[in-house]
Amino acid sequence: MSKGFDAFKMAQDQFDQVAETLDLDAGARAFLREPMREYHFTIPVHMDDGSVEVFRGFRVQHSDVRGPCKGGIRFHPDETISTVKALATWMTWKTAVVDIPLGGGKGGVICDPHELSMREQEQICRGWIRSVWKNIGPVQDIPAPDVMTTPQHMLWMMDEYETLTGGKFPGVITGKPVGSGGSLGRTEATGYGAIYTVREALKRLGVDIKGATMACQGFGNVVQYAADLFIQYGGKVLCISCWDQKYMKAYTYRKIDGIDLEFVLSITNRFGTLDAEKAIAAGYEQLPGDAWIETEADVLLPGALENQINADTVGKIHARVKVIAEGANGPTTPEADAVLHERGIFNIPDFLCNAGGVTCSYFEQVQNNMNYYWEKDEVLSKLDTKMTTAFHAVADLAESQSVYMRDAAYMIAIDRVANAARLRGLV
Amino acid sequence: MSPLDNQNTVTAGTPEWKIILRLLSETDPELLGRLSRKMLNYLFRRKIVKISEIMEELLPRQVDAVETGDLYGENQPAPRMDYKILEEITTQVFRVAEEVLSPEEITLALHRWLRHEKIRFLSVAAGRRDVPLGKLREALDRYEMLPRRNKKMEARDRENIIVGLTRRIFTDDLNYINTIRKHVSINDYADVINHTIGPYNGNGKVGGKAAGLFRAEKILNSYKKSHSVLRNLKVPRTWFISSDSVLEFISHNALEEMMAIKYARQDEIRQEYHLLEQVFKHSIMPYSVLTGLEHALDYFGTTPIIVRSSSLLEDSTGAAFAGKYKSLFVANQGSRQQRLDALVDAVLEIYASIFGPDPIEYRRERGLLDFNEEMGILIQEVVGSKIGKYYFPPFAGVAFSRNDYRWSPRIKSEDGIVRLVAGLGTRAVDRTGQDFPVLMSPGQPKLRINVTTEELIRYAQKYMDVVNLEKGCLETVNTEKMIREYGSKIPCLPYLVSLFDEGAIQLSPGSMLNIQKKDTIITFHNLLERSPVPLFFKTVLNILEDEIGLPVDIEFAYGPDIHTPYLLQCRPQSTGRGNVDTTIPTGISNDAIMFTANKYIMSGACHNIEYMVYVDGAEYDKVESREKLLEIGHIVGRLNQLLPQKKFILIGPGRWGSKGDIKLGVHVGYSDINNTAMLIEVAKMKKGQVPDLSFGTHFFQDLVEADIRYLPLYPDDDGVIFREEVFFNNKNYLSNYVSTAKAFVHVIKVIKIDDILSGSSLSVILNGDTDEAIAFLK
Repeated sequence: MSKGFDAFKMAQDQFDQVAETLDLDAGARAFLREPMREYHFTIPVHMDDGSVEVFRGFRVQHSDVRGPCKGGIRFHPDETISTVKALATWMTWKTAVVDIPLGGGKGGVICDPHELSMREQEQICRGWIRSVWKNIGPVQDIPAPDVMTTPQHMLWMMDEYETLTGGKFPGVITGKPVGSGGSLGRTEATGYGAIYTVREALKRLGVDIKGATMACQGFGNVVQYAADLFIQYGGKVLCISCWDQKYMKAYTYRKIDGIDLEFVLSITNRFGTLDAEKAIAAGYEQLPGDAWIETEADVLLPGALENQINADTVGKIHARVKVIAEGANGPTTPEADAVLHERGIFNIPDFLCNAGGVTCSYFEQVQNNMNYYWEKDEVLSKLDTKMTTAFHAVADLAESQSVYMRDAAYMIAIDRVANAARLRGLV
Repeated sequence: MSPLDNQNTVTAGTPEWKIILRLLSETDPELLGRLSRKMLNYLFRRKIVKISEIMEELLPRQVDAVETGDLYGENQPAPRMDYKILEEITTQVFRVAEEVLSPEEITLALHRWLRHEKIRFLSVAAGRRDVPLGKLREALDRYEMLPRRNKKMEARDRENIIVGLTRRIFTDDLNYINTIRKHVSINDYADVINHTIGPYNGNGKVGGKAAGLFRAEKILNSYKKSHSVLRNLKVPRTWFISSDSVLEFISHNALEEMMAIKYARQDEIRQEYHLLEQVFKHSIMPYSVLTGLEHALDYFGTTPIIVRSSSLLEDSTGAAFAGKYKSLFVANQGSRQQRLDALVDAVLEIYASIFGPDPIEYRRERGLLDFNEEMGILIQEVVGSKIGKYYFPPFAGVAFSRNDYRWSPRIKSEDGIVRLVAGLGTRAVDRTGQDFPVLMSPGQPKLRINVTTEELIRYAQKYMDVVNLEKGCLETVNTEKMIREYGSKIPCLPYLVSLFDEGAIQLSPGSMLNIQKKDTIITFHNLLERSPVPLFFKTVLNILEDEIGLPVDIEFAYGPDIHTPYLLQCRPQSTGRGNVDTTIPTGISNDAIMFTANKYIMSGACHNIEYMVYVDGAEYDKVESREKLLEIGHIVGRLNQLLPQKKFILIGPGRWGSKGDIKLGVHVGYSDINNTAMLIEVAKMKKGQVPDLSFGTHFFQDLVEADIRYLPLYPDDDGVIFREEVFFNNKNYLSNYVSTAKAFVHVIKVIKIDDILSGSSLSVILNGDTDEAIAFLK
């Protein structure tokens, strides 16, 4: 294995720093630095050609002190236990920061679905459940789709689980299609969730969202719904950016008086790529891919890619920018983060800003467990409440302790988990 | 006593056969001679010893003569014997027959042979290589009109006719003749000739494409009984224009000087070509061809048709001319005159393409320039159905018996590959770069290239080609819009699409209720999982490759259901894009070899490579920070933009395009590598373990469409050469290209081939059939 880059070590280092700030006691530190449970197992599969292949599967339950573990299952040929452990740890902080009663987990199988037939993949899913079904469940640990796993995989797993337990437990897994136990509002959840936090951030900064402006990176699901809600609130979206497969380049499309979302969506394909000709014809400026970051706007929403705000680009951020809402995972590099901190730009860190998705998964599971399903409005209004409350808790801490938002978010998350462990008498 | 003696003594008791023989000896001695030879063979077959003895006596063999020191040996011509000897043979043959056979048997045999004589005209016609088209048609018509019992003939006569007809109509190629003879009947040829347009006195053929299709159809027909999956296989209704019609056209319009164009300079040809096309279109079609085209139009009605080139050189072994000549769609709508004009235009455009710069260059490269190229033409009904104002098949595509693009080590070359598209097959034949067919390996239909939601969407077919009947043209339309507009009126739709709902894909669409209102994606999921189509392709490709003895590729279309395949074309498979020679060269000195490989090879070749970009696995492994690893990916992306397009190859450790643990391979996207000629993954043993390679899965279909070759290298395997020192002993040009990359010169090497050996370039040949690859300087 490679010795240099170790994902789990990074997660531990990050934890150690926050633990130091929080002055956590040694017991809590030792307890939260490591996953509570790790399952390693083999999954023998009879392949289509009659041979038998044995796959390696994992489930890591980092913490369940706040509630059942929650986290995806990844199918990847490069999967390592270190990655799975790191991701399980981050899930614990993510569920804690939005204050939903869940813990953190992650799982995976070392396999490449590109080299497996659907039947073989189904056997892996069922084999995975057969290995851990006693240790997961709606009140223990709830998996979800992740890298290279789909709702289809989740339904096979749910079916195997229900076969083994002899009951109906759709809440054992989330990310199911609507109609098979999925929740309405899932598509909107991440984008809307981000704007709920932006709305609250602007309130705190004394900026009226009506008339406020926003520049977005990307135009996938997150940005599309974020733009929708921002415009509903009376704001203006000045630009979005997208990758153009045809020209092998990213472009920013800008309209200074605000984009017409309905029109832009009508010329956008499923990948969020705009039809360049039609956009230009309608008066949109076609600018280089990173031009979004220079836009004179109140809010920047990096919504698709990692490392967009980095040492090279951070200097281009316009003086007007007051809020950066991290809709994507890891859009800001540590070097850039330091600059933002210094400039006093209000940052809504990724694991808070884009937690709408996991919150909706939680709602899915709640609906499954009571076997009663809410209308979309009800899901979204509950999401608003959760996100708003979570945001203010972090912002209050940041303000009262004079710490950066990202640090405050980690502090509040880790403190909540540590506190739950303490109350249970574990540490 | 000879049966031919006693000519005056016919009595009531004289057997009928004797009377026949006597009559013939007076009226038609040649016929008598043929009958006696037939009787001779008849007796040989009955193993009558005496007949051998008599023949021996009358016609002593050369070898006997040499042994006895006689006058002539095997190197001298045998002497001509007295004419009388032939008469004597006739007499002796029938004498033996009388001794060993009953009179009834002899009479019956003579009756049968005399009946065979009635179709002798056909052997005569088929035997003449230059028999005019009109005469051949008459002979075949006459044969067709005969009552069934009179069509009987001896097997060898039939074979002789079939071989003669094959040569006359299709080709002299012996492999072709050998592979087809046992699968065809004379009626099959009559059918072709009855639908062939050309000058009455012409002696042209129908050309390579027509020949390829005819052979494949006949071979597959003879397997229909044993393979139920082939039972509904059809070939679209077709007319042919004989290859010499183009010569008739040229002389009719006094355009003979065109024949010399092929010897002009390439730029001159290119310059002149468009003008020439217009000159052709404004010339007059000879009457014989024109009336033939009118017949064909009456036959097709207003169904759209496709006019395909079928030149003599096309589709022959070794020069497939893939895509060099044109195929043109004709919507075939409007008044009769409009339809005829459009058809004539299409034919003339294809005629002009003989003088096009690309085909001439192609011929020049292969030493085929001096061949008297003639252009046959196929006019085929377009497979499809009318849906609204459009006409198209539900799906179509191309299939290859050898898979040169294996996306998993589980797929073998002989598992084949199919490129499937909704609508007309044009999008599968051509690579559009931006749009994607669904790829399937018939030997491993369950192993998909695209499995995640993102991949399925990213590589889905977004546009389809259809014939617009109102506008009378070929049109590319948005697939999703078509489905929204016509929904379940499109045949086979549940087999073609999956649903996209709430960010996830429902592969098997289940009920197609209100399909117009749903988000659909072309995945062919149900077709691949729940239909006989994969089995059909596996069967067809196996049979054709076995029978023809070469890898083949076919074009096909389906309609109106998944049980009715149409074969549109069949030819020897051209490897790679165009026609690449993938024979592994021998006799290359060890110094010139850069690397070799011997497993998971996909056929192809890259020549004139000027640079190698090498990411050193050991150094890459030592890089500690994720930022630096990402930076390496960026540098590769920069080099991709800066190095001359398709003149460099990328060599790197493990899995190119890794996203998760990027230690396992350089983190690049497709746009970071799209200009390379080749992507090579090196699986070097680390701590006793050989790492898994990606086989390009991260952007596999992009590689296919851009014709970027992929090669996995296992340097630790036996018999494999990998000259790693080359990357360390030569100047590294990295900083010349990317000045900010100085910190990475130990990881990324940019090597100029010219530095390794002055004046040389690198060639890489990949042969999937033998599983060998070699890269060498030349």
